[in-house]
Amino acid sequence: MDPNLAILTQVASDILGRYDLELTPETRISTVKGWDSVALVKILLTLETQLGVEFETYDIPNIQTVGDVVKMMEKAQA
Amino acid sequence: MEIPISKWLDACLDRGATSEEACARIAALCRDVGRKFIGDVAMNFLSVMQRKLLAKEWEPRHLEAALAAADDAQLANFLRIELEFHLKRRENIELATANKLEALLKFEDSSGAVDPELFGEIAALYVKVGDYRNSLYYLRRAFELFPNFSFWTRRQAIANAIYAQAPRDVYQRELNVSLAGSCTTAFLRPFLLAAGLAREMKLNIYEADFGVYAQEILNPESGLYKHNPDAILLLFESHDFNCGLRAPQSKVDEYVAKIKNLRELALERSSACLIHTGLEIPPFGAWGGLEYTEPDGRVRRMQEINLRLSENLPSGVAFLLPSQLAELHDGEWTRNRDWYVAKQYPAPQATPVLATAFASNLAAFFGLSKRVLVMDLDNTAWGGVVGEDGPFNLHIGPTFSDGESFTAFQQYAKGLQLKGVLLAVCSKNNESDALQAFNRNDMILKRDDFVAFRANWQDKATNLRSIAQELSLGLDTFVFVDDNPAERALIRKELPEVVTPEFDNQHWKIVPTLRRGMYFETIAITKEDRERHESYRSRAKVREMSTSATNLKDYLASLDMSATIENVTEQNVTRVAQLINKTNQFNFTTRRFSVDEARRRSTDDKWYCRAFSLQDAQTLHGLVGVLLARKDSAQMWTIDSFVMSCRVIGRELEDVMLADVQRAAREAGVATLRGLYIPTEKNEQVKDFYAKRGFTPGEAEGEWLFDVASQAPTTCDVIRILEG
Repeated sequence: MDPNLAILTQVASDILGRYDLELTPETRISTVKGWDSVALVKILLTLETQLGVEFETYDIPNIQTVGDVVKMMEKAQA
Repeated sequence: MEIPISKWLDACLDRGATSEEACARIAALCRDVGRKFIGDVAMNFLSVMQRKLLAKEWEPRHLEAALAAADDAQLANFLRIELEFHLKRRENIELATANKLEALLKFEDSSGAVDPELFGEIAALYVKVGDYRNSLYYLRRAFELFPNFSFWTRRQAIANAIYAQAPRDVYQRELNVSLAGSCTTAFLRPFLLAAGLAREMKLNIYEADFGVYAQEILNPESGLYKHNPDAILLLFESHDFNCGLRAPQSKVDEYVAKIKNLRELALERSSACLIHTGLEIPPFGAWGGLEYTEPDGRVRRMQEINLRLSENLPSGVAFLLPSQLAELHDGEWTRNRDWYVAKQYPAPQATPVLATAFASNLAAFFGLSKRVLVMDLDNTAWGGVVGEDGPFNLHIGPTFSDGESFTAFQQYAKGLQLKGVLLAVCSKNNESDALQAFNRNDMILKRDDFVAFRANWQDKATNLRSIAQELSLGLDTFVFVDDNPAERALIRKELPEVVTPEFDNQHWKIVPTLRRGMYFETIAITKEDRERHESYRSRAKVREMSTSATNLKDYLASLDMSATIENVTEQNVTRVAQLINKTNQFNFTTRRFSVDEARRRSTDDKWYCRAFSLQDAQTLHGLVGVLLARKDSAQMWTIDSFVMSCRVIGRELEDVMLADVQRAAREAGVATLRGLYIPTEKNEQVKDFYAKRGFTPGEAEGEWLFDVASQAPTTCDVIRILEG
């Protein structure tokens, strides 16, 4: 499993309060129960703390898939 | 040593992790991380490891490899616990969970580890085994260590599970809270829930949409009111006062008037208390210092707004100053990026501090603030050991490099005492040695500042219990400060209800730790708060005398007591509500309500509302009793609230109170006076009160009836009555 995807899955599970979450880069965020825009921002902010990075200003409407988030994580750590 | 989790995961989660190489890599990482293991990063590593084991990408041998490499005992212990859990969980998940919980508790016990991650993990396991009381306890302990934002976020699931599943009696209060703001409150909400849990409050939160606080307050049909709130929380920030670099006076006046109007309206339309923030000082702007020094500079204007909003606060309102809170948070208070993206205020990392401030003020409104600070002496109140070093070699004051820190602690404690917190000593010392130290004139605190003084060689749990008994206060109102980790561990084990803060064993951190915990928040300082210390001191003296007095009546008569009886009015309603919400022991029905509700009843002719003050030859005790009777009909009155402060228990004021309502009922021609007793954990002492005073049991459980016309009213011949 891609390490960034592993971290994201962990963080999203905690924030959405679900332990059965299975995410792939293709997963569309809108199809995940409870993952609304507020949850998305929470997840992004938590990822920043955990990775010790800062994302560039993000464009929420354009974050459609789990893969989009993973790409942001990669870019921030590059 | 901080290792970013990404590095960890890069190293141990890449493909082919089943190879021998991967095992070696894990081993090396475990060595690297050493004693930092139970930190934020390491717990993440653990949970990823759990996930990999679950997905069978890893096998137990990977963990074994890590275990073999761990040369740190603490780390090895942790890994072993984890390994056992994974070996067992396939057969029996319940058993594996229970074993893991037991192992972690044992680990905590033997290592004395104080780590929010450890406590969070224990809390999560307690949730899984359905023990919510302990789960709440460990969650509280984790929060007492001020974990970072990431902890609060990750452990949200525990708070949610407790909210969803725990029975009512694990909480001290359940409150309806309406939350609105000029920014988004979506982030604040979960932290507020958690901060509430740390204070044993269940908060049912209604959250208004972003930025519509004015509409919610103006519209009497809004969700904010429909939620039937016990408290309304309003979060304002600087963007709400929309001005450029300069703001004319008229704009400031307009804004202040708007907020004040809304505040009044909210108080009028609900029976809630209201807690709101002022405006934060915006970041250093284009005009720099001029933004403050120019008469109409925007920073100056915002200061002015804060000043004007916080002066002469109506009762039932608490004001939070953001710059004071920002000082409690080590990090930025606001973050532009998050404001642009999400209208998030304050910065996410600062949100827990804000939530704690809201929760502490809620606790203060509803009588859950801590009331007693118990302190150790040697190396806590002063530097050195008085029994060995002698009173004149103790480190205190500016002569010693570490002396000022002890002075600062004493000053802080003195400040708490001045606002009504009681101070007590619990120290392993000869009493004469300890007393000698307090004779030094550079001690800020003096012997008489303490309402209880235990300098002896008994164990501290026994001492704390006896202090609680002496003061008639619950141990859950205590905060205990001691420099010795073993003593703190003992108190936690024996008396988990006592708050026992950690301060990295550095005495200069004691005061910051207490400040940040906000355990002693007070909404307003009433006359009684200022006199409380005196009252308890004289109570302690009375107690000493009473043990030798042969005849209780003679003794009580010798106190020369007099009581003032008044109606509940605007002058005393704040104190009346405070007493109703704080009193646990001498309280028949434990009804809790706000200042507004008390005010409403006091002006409603369906209620008989009386307040009782007591004084004796030595002390003014102030307003210490409240009795509210509901006039159900021309035939029957019901004593709905009957509370008396525990510091005047045993002086027969309760008989004065009962006699007063009996007389009033008789004058009104009422046939039956009804008393109620609703048992709680703490009000056992009033259980037989009505029976002993001629009331007969009614049909309903806890109902007591008194025939006003034919039965003789209660009398009290040791207290004179002064009509108010």
